[in-house]
Amino acid sequence: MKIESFRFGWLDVAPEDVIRFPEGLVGLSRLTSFVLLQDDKASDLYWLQSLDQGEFALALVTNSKLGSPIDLSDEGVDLSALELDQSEDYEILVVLNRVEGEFTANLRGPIAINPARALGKQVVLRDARFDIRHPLRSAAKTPALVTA
Amino acid sequence: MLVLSRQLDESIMIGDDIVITLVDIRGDKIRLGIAAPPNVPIHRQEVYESIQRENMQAAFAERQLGESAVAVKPAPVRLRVVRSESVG
Repeated sequence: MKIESFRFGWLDVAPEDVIRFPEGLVGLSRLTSFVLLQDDKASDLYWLQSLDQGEFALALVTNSKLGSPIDLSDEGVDLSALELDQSEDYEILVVLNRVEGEFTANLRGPIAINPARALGKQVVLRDARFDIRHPLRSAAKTPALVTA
Repeated sequence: MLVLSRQLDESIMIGDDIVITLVDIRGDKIRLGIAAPPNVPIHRQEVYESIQRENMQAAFAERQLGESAVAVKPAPVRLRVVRSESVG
């Protein structure tokens, strides 16, 4: 399928590259189809590009790149939407934001993806210690993003 | 808005399979028990709204992230799950 994205222009997306979010994103339940792109300049940076709405794309990094602050197995999160064969076969990605020029990471609403089945879900953590706008300035592990 | 009065331990049914029970009352705080199918997401409203807001704001902010829009088209990637062996 071809979609016109705000950031990347026309994208030709093969069916097997479509990641479905059966529940949509939190508060955006109609956004259910995405493609995951790797930034061509900063390889640690990913883009979750909506196929339903071309102007909607989120910048992401893997949880492990941030030092793995999130452990969903501790949180009792329902991951049935991912149809996991084995309980650990998923990747956690964290949505980045830029607030007044500073990068922040949304640790409260991470995105879990089962690559084997191309299924995703945005989960909401109960623990309020997970900051919605966790500042990344001090995180020395994200230099690739800062220079992007 | 429909407003119903309930006493402690009484419930409300929403549809066929969602049950909300008033399980505790302490001063101006009440505790609700919610039984719902696993595919029904349940969130505190203020948390739900803050994540929703953050998603939309982050999608807007991404336009400023990195360099100019419509640069090189990155190829789709499939994540490979890599787990480090846990010790002990």
